[in-house]
Amino acid sequence: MENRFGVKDFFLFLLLGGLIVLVILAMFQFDRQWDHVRAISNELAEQKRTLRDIRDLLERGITVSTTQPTEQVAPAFERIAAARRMPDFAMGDRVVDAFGGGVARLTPLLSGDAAASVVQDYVLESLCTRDPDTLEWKGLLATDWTVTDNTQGFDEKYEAFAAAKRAEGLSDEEIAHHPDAPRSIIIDFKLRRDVRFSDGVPMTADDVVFTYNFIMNEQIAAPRHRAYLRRIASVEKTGPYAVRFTFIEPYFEAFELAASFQVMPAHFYGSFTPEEFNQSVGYLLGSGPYRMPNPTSWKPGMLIELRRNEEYWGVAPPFERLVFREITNDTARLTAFRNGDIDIFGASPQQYQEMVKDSVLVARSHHFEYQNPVGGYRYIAWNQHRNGKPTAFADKRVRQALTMLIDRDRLVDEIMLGYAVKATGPFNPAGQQHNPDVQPWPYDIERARALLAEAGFVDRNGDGILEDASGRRFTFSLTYPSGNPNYEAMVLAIKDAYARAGIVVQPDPLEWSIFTTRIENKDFDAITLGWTSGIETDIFQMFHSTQAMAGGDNFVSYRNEELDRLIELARKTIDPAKRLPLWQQCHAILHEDQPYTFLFFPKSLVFIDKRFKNVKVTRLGMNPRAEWYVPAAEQRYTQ
Amino acid sequence: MSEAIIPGTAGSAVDPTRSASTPPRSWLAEALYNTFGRVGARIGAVWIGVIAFCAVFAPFLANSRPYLMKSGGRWSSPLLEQLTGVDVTLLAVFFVGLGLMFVRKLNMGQRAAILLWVVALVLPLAYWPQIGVIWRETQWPVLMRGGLLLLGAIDLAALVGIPWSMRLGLRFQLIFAVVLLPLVVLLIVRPPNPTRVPIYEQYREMEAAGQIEWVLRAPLPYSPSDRLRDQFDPNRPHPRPPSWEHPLGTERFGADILSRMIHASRIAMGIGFISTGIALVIGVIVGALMGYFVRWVDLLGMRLVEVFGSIPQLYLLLTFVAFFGRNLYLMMVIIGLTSWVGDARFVRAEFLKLRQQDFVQAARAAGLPLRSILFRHLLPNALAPLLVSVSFGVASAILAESTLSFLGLGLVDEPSWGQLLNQAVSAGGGFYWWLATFPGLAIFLTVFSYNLIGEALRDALDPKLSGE
Amino acid sequence: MLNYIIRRLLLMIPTLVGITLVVFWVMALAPGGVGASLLSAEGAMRPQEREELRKYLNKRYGLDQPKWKQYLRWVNQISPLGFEVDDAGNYGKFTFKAPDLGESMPRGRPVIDLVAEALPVTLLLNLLTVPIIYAIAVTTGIYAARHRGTALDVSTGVLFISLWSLPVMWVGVMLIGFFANRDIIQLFPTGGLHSTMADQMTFLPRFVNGTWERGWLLDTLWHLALPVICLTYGGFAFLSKLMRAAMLENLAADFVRTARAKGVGERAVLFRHVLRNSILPLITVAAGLLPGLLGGSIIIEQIFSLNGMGRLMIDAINQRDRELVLSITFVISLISLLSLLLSDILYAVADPRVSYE
Repeated sequence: MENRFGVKDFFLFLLLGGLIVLVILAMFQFDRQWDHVRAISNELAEQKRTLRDIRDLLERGITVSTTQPTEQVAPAFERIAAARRMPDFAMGDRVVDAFGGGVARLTPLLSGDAAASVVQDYVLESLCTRDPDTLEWKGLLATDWTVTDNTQGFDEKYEAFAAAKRAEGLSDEEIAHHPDAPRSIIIDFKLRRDVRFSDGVPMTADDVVFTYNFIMNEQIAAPRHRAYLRRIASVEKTGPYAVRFTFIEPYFEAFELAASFQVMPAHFYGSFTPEEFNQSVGYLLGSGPYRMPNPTSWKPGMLIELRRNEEYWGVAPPFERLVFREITNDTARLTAFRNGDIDIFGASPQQYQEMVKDSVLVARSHHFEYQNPVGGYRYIAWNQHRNGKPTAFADKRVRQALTMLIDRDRLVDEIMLGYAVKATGPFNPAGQQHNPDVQPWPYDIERARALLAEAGFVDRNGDGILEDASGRRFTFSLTYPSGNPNYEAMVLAIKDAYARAGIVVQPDPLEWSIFTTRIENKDFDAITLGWTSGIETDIFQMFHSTQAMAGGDNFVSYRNEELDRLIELARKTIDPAKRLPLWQQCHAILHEDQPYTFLFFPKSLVFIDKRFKNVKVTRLGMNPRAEWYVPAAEQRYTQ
Repeated sequence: MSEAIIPGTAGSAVDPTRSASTPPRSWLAEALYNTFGRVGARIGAVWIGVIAFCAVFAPFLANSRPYLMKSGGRWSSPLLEQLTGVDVTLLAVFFVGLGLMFVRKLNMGQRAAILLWVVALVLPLAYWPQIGVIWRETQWPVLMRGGLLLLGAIDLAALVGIPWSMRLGLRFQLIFAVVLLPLVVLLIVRPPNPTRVPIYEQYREMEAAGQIEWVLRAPLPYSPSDRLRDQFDPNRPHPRPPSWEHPLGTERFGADILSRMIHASRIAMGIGFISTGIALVIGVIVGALMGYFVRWVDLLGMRLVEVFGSIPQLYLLLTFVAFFGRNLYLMMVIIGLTSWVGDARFVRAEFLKLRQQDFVQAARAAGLPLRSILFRHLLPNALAPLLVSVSFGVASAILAESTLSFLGLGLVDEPSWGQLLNQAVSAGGGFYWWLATFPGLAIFLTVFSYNLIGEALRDALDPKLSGE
Repeated sequence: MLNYIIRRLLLMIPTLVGITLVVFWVMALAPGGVGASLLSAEGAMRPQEREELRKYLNKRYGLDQPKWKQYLRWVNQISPLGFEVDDAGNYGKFTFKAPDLGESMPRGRPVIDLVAEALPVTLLLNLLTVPIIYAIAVTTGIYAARHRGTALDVSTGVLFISLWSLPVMWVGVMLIGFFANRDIIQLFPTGGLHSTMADQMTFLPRFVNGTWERGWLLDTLWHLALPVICLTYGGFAFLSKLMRAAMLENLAADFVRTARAKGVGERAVLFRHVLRNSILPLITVAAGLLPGLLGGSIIIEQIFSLNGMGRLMIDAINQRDRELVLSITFVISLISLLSLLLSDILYAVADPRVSYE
């Protein structure tokens, strides 16, 4: 037998393998060095360009005037300017945040998750922003605007026009976009002239019009945004720095729709074919205070790091970088915050309670608990119509009884550890749509039993379970999204609470995608979920009877004509003084009918590293990070 | 052609030349005796014994309901009233098995068959009221009723078939009937009827209100689903660390961990055995067919084995469970479906070796039917690697279920060790060491015990490896 | 030999078809299709938006066609020999073409990109563990064989079985909870593959301004330490038992007796004669280890937040991302099959007694 494979050969192979590994590692290292070199040379090129521009200007001759500049500081920057006047203000440092899930793509319009929009909000800018304390709209990219309100008698005018056009054979869609159609609301915006995108190209009205047309282009994979903008008849350029938004029918959120329109650069996004754009993951370029180091090269899995836009047209933000890490494991995220690896931590009630007891942690961070005005509420939705037949929940008395069987105060204390506010309706208690006269249903088992008996549910055979007239037991399945311990705790608490009254509840956790399919097909008994809200919530999709079709958001098939009428009227009323009382009446009706059992509005709980100053809670939640700063002595991440 | 019946071997699958009336141990018993003579296997057997005891007596060990209670002058036993059908069946099997250990004349196979017969007798009796309810109120009439009819048929076949094929003595049968008759009568007259709206805290509330005159509680007075709704204390949120009332602490939703672990042992053992059983059945059938009919059947079979063997088990499990939802019985079937490959390979290897042997040729020449050749002549020789594989298979099935629960795809309200481990990792206020340590320890010890037994079996059955 | 390889490769095709059938039909028969992308995080989307999205997805991915048609479409897509398909979905001629793993629906990106990003992490993890497992298993196997029956032999055997019985998730959770926890002791990072400042670091460790900086290479290895520990400990038992058994078998063989009779020293007998022959089963098993490791790394990647194939698979399953789940399972099975083939070939190469003719 020949010695084909000796021990010597083995070691030789090992050595060879080791050499190959070293060569590969060296190649890696070269790659990284090359990336760095390239980034440096890019920055140098930009600086060279800026210098050249300045030199050009100097050669052409500038006059230094002592009069006021034509463009004032944008009103949106007033608060930031105030922060800058603080004595220990210093530029520099970074903010490190962590997302609980992976970000799949950063390209605007395509990404659906909340994390991506957090990042996009630093890079793209809208026409106006809301002042966090006064809630007024302040101009950002727009300096000025005029709203023309043609809503008086609009309906009749429009019907007349539509009838005439229908006689000519036009479809409703064509009528809506007909150039001669009467328009309800027209908003003219005047844009700033000194806005530049982060690559230096100036912004004009063309970019705004481009953004609108881009979104409405059917080939772009942005169906959600398209549907959202369908109320707009057109966005036209009325001057090099002026645009006009025209709305088809009156809608109370029209101004908000136009004002929060994020402007995308035409020269950048227009350079891609729709196919390229749809497949892209990291095409993000805008006029905002921060920019991506490379507007096209980001890939998921790479760290998301925004650099300060040195070419920013407005007041420069203090932080040199914003870093967004991705830590899916909740415990790992908490540990990262404890170790100082991340600066911001949004806590669950249990975590928050543990953390405030930790004196070391409290000493080195701010912590806030606040009622987020755009935070949502949790509810139980009772399906009133299933498989073509009304269910037990179609009876209002049953729903009221089911609400009275839950001790919501106890739920808030036990599951949310007190960090929530009991809900009586879909409107935030701190907001203006909330009706202060509405008193919550009390926790009253006897009264609930009496109501159920009225509705026909009594324990007829002594087995402890309520039965209806035909002897069928009162049992239903409570469906909830799996994987969330808070929901699970709630459902188990409800199960035990209803057991005392003789109602059998079967917990039914489902994966999110199956969950949404079942909701769409109205294939459930009861679900528990949450809705987000806004400064002013439009409850049309959730409670209006027209939305009870398959796939609609009124998945419980709730119908109330008076409510329908109020909602329609409120949506068309532009004057808040007239509109808000209408919402309050809606609240009273919803309280009486209980299509949902409104549970509570969870509070936001957040810990922020103490080195950040000027951190406060505003009426919109935490104040924007552009208003924070870190004094020079306490900065952690220096260049 | 009639089947040659070898007298007295019905139920004894192993040794065709011995009759049941002589007492010497079968080869199987010999192997087991050797195995459990080793230290490792003994340690493993002790722990498995503890788990089995917990599984059988779970409702008596941890229950919010008292054994015996005197209230308002009346005596009652809430615990006994709320026993379920499964509880009763397990108890019956346990005691009958205990009794059978003292009867010398039977061998292992016969004992196993008798226990199966007891299950077939007691289980339907314990559930006969519920069967009526399911029949009337099911949401999927075709599926459920068809399934019930099928199970009923299997059960009837077992009830009649097992005693007939075993041919035990008349005296034995009489004793047996006398012992079991009271149980049967009790079940018919007063079947188990556990309530579907349990209110666990009512006994504690009654005691606090002074309504109870005398009470005898279970050693651990907490049921696995008792979430202590009457003991809410905002200063001590759940999960609570171990204390005198809760020896292992409480879990996130308030239930006592020790209680949940005791009841989870039932699920663990159940999944372990049933999944491995399913895997065994599939593996043996496929492997036997492959090994006996070579050429085309083998080619096809090998492809099947490769298909299921090259997809990593966890990937396939995740796909199945995530897409078909979670349900205890479904999970057992799925774990079984993904782990039959090893058994098939062993059986095929043995059959390939043996099919050319003389005794097989003789059997074919005698014209014995196929199933007889396969299962009575060839299969007993392949038992050795199969036994080893079963032992490791149970361990891996328990591990698979724990992994699924850990990834959040496990059972919902039923207690499970993996589910507790999942809570240690999912959103919490820190590292709750008692949620991680104890369930993990339980999983580890159980898997370790089965692995020890498997190793000892392997050493006992394969003389080459032991080096002796 | 070549015949054998070709025969095995051809036989792989029906197996691959079988795999695709199993995985596709499990997913196709299940409830809950592409629902995930239809609703965003908190479930607030208007019905017209959803309708638009559904129509759009149906047109792009052919979701409204019967299932068997979708299956055939997918098989045609991934096979290197099939009908060409252009962007509008029309079929061309039957030729060789590049296999296309499809596009992930919720993410809208080609699967091959996602796999190419995730695979290196998983491979890195697994390729680091294999040599470690081997090093420890071989040494203990040799030792156990030489000192058969002693307390050390038995105790290492029991130790390895107990290590094998430790559930991976438990170990991972405990390691993070105790060794990566500021409250107790912080020896290792809690997860991820790199620190926040990793890209600022130099590649190799060195002194910068008087402080020692870890360097990118060491930083990555430090992050990989705990995951690798979790992956390795389970592999010792099987391999060391195999090594021990093989060595015992060879130690009793004739040629060893001859060598001893010749006067060759015990050490030389062990390392030059016995070892070389005993190592053969371990070589063949090497490639077969890979499928097992790939499965185990799912849990580890989940616990330690590493973005490898396991995480990708779990995300894909949670989103019911059909293309991605199919493609990942397909890729993983392909790797498994190829590694089994590789191990058989290695066996033939290493041991001249073995021939596949």
